[in-house]
Amino acid sequence: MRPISAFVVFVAVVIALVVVFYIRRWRLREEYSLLWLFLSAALIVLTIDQGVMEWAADRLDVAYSPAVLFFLALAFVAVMLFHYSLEISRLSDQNKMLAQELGILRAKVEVAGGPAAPSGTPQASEVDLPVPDDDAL
Amino acid sequence: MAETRHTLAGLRRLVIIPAYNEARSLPGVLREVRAAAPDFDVLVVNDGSADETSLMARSEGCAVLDLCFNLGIGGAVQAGFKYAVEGAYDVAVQVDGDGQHPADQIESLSRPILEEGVDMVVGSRYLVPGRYEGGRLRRLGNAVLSRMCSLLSGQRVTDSTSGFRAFSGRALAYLAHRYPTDYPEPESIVLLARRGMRITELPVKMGERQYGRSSITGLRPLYYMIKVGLALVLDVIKEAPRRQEGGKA
Repeated sequence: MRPISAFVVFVAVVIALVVVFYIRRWRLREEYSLLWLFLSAALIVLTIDQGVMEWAADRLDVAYSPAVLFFLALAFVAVMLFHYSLEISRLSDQNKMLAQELGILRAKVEVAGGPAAPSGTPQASEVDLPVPDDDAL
Repeated sequence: MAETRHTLAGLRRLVIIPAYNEARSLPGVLREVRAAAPDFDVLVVNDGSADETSLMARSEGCAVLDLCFNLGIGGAVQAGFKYAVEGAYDVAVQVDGDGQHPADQIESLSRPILEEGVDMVVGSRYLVPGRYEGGRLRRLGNAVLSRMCSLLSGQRVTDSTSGFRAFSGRALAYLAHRYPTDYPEPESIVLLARRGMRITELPVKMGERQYGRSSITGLRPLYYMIKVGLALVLDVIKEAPRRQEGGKA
């Protein structure tokens, strides 16, 4: 195994470990974890078995086989970025809806005779409840 | 016409005042609105202000929506629309919290909606004789956007960026679902027109804001114009909203 291959395999394993770490901490959702684990596996396969790359380059009629790899890597990054744009748009929409609904519900609760504390003053729920520890979960 | 007046008497009217850090100007604005438009309920949408905006509004005895963080003008006004829809209001008039909009025109702005079935009435600064003061770039931006709005909506628009406007129940129901976030005024004209709603303008003489400064200064009118201009073009290809989207509201 060439040194560069060993290095790439090492990087791929580190990626996999990082992904597993965050999955265990509940901080990475399944679909993303699968994606990144797949990327790590693909890196290892392509590094160890160079024949796959050469075969793909041959089928696509590309003279310089690493170019196929560069293309795939760029395409992967572009698709991921677009996916994140979609996700951010969706989340900020939902975020906005939540804030609006919360404001309306709060106004209704006040009309119904609930505790009327204007925003800015600390509310009972913010002061008294113990804050759950993230790591304890 | 006594009969018209009778049927109009039972209609529900709302003034929506989006306010972000307007504690200083708000009491004056609220008193003016009360005096000029006694038939209207008043809702202040406190858009995550850091000052006493919410307390001020409460001490004047009007309904307050406290948003837990700053949503920007589009999100704040839309929260007001949702409130209006839930309260089954027949007309809602949006009035800025900074005292620029003349409270004594709230009634006249809502009249075409209650009496003629118009869906949105925009108070236009450019229909009054004499020139509205403001930077050259701002006037240019407004002119370009208004021309685009006229073109895309098929209705004559002279002041597409005016935030002093009245909405019918039908327009409120639609905008509660779909309202642009950043600079919503020009876009909402096109969105409503493309839903087949009627839009008119009335001349309005606007004052200077009492405190604070406009967020659109320096080169920003240019940025605003390009951004909103692109958004207007994109609105043309947007689908009509599907039923299930936007939750229950």
